[in-house]
Amino acid sequence: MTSDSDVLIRVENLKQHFPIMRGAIVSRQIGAIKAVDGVSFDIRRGETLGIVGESGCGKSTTGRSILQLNKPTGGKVYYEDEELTSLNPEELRRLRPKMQMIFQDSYASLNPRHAIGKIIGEPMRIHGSFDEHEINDRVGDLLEMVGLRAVHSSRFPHEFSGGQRQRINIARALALNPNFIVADEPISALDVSIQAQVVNLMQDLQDDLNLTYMFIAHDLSMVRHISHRVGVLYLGKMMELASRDALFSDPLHPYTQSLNAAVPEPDPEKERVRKSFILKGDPPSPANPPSGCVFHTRCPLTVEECILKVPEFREIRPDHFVACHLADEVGTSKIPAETILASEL
Amino acid sequence: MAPLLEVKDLKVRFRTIEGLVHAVNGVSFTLHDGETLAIVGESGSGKSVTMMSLVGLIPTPPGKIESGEAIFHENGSQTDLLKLTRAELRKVRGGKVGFIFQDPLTSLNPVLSIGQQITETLQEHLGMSREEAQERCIELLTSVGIPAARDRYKAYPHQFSGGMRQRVIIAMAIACTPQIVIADEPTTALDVTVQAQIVDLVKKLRSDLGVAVIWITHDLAVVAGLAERILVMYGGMVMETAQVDDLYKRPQHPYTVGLLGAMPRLDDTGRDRLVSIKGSPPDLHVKPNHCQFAWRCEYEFERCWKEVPPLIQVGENHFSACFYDLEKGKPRDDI
Amino acid sequence: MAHTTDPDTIKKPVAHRIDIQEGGFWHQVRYIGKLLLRDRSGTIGLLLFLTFIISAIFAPAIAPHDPLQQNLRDSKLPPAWSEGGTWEYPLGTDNLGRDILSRIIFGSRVSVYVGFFGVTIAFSIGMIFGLVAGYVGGRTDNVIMGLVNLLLALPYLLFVVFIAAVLRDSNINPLILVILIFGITDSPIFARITRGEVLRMRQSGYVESAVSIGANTRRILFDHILPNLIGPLVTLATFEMSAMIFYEAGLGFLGLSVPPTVPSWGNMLSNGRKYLTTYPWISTWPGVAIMITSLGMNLLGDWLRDVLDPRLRRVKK
Repeated sequence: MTSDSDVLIRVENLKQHFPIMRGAIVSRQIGAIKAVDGVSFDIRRGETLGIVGESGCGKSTTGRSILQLNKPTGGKVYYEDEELTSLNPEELRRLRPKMQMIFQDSYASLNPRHAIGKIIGEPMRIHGSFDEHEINDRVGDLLEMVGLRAVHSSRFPHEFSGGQRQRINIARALALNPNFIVADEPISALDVSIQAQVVNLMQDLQDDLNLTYMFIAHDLSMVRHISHRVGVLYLGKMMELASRDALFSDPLHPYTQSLNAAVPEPDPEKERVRKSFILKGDPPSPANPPSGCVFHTRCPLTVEECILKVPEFREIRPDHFVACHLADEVGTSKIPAETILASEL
Repeated sequence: MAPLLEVKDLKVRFRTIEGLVHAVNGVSFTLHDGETLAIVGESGSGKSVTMMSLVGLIPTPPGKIESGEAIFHENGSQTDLLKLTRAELRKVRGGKVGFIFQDPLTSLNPVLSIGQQITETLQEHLGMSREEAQERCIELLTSVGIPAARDRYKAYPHQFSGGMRQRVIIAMAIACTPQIVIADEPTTALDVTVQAQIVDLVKKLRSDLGVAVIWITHDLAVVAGLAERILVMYGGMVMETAQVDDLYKRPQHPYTVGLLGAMPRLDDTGRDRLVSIKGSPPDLHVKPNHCQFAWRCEYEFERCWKEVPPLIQVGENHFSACFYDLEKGKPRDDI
Repeated sequence: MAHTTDPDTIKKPVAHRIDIQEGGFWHQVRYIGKLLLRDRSGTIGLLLFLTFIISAIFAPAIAPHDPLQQNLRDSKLPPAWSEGGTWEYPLGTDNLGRDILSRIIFGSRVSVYVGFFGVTIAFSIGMIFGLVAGYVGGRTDNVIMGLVNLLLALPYLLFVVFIAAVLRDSNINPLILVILIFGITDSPIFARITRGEVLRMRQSGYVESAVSIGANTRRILFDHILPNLIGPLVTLATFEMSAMIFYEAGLGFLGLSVPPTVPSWGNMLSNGRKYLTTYPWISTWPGVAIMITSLGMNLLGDWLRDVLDPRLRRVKK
């Protein structure tokens, strides 16, 4: 068990439901999109927690809800001892420098009219009373830290490439020595050779500054590379959470197994013989999630209990959590591809 | 295998407000009957422009095909695609060459049902009657794995999920049994499980129909099990081309080595650093007169800056445009 | 021969590479300068606009005669190049012997006041409401947009006539009245555009980034949102100003604008109506003035819109 002082972020039963409204003058709520529907996990100091899932699973929303960029509709989020949902706006604002976010679109997150020196220095102008010299020095240091040069601080965002802009975003996030950074698909929009640069940078910074990351991505290979532990989301719920090695070499949830089976490797021999684990049907809509286990409509192992009852997210093995009624039974062997009721293919 | 499409020294440029962009700078390759060729490159490599210019899909006010040939072999006759008129090219598109684009949302007309869109192609190119086209349409939709095709063909694009829409696009692409299918990043916007399904579908269709496939991507992993030959592009030029096993086992060009090293793999032990290629993609405003990759290459030496390296044979059916011999660890002296 | 640029360095800030939406103040000034030189219609628009402004400001110095001075002996004289005309009255005189050129020059004042101040009021009211609607959202947004739509639906002419009739007997300067009315009735479009832009910006990421680093509302509004609003709103302002000049002329034609003694292009049009077949120049010249000014403002607005349009941003492939 991890001791409390190891835990930096604790999420308890986090919910983010977006109401669907109808009517122009007088609006009624006719439903809700359950983007995040009861997710609980810890993030430990100094680790990288990878969060993976396909589109619509709620991984981005989870990151933003934790940082209170969208106020959660339910649940609690603890940063060290502070419970974030109960803070007033001023208290929250003052805590922000410690918990930062790096967004996917490196260009959109930079104000095109500000020089990057101004952008990176903005956190220092907002919080704390630094004078201009101190700010300029610090901006220069930060630029060097992320692999750019201090002289670049007078340039504007559009003069930089995608990878460089992401470095600028990282520099801004580091301005006031954060402890926790949520990286929401930080490299998806970058070229492969640049992705490696940025990921290496993030790892180096983590080692030097003892940062804690929540790395949200759909690219499983990259998540596998950078994370210490990984959580798998599906339709707003967490299906599995385990250490990186355990999750990828011995996944216990059928969804995780199908994800693993679907990720290609740059190895022709392996790829030619790979049998894909094809899930049947289409992903359901988060506005109308299935009953019981949200995965039951596509799971090859569905039994009656899966339709009726929501499985508990429990610790099947030490530090390995799974939400599946059949986790004990499938625990020791992967589902062979032949037992899948695939579509005609 | 008989050659189907021979591209020789293709050069394409674009005129923009900021000057000329040299998007494609002398690309040559041969596609054989029924072969699956993967064209791999990052953004700005010119991979898409190369393919699109072959079939007249580059808007020719800003774009211009400066030089080159694209010989299409069919029943013993040879046609240079680059010399065809607009009307002739329209016949080629859809009829001889089918397309699968990246974004299934924008590739389908939102106000027409998918049945209408497919039958339109069939009637136009194969001269089928409406009833024949409808039947064939339903056959096609079933063959790409759309369940209950007879009912669903009246549905509209927005009623399908992303993966289903991509299948519809594939159905349209193969509708007129073309000889070549060009797929431009067809799975980049799809979830990984859907991507696996689409790759499987393409594998099945190519073995059923014997069609040649050109798969354009930036992802060396997705084409590893699909391609027979790979072409690696950078800065509008071909850097390396080889049979698939050869390329992944014995990459000869520093760029290919870099790309392969930048991808994390299953057998990664611990959290090693990824091999990253320093620098950023080249500025295409300058006409290349030396190796485009020299700025980012760790093996560069004098000669790399003086001339553009030609494609040098480094193995059976394996060519690399590089003056440095990676296996021997020194510059080539036999060129 | 030049090497390909070292990709590791930053691209040099060549003026023509800069998009007007990006970069600081001086970058944009240089860019605007280059664009003006390249685009003739924009330059023409700017020149016409400046002519208009200058004639309004320096009217007493430029006009050859006092616009109010009647001179029945010299009445109904044709323009100077026609038979019977004289260069003392270059564009001719009206039925009361007043110099048309001078009246046009002084008339531009009314148009400038109405256009400029009217737009300023519309801009200010519209921008504030649009900001609140877009930024606060929710019910406030619905209420404000409801009001906006209501105002847009009003037939402005009826509204104007009504207000004018109601306030006619009071001592309010009719010019101020016209300006106020135009300002209020034209504000909805500014509100709509502002709201749209604010919504777009909230989605676009840098506003959210500002929140994530702890910026308060004041900083977000002043540092992030307002500077990026100026572009579209200034473009809109030029178009609306042109429209207001037209409207004022319309009102003047109907006799609902400033009193007939004060020279305004609308009044002059109305005045010359009786003489269209006999002395056509009395109405024609103010008509030409209105047309040229509107044209100039529209050209300027078109050019500004092209320059400020973010969709013209370079697309990377």
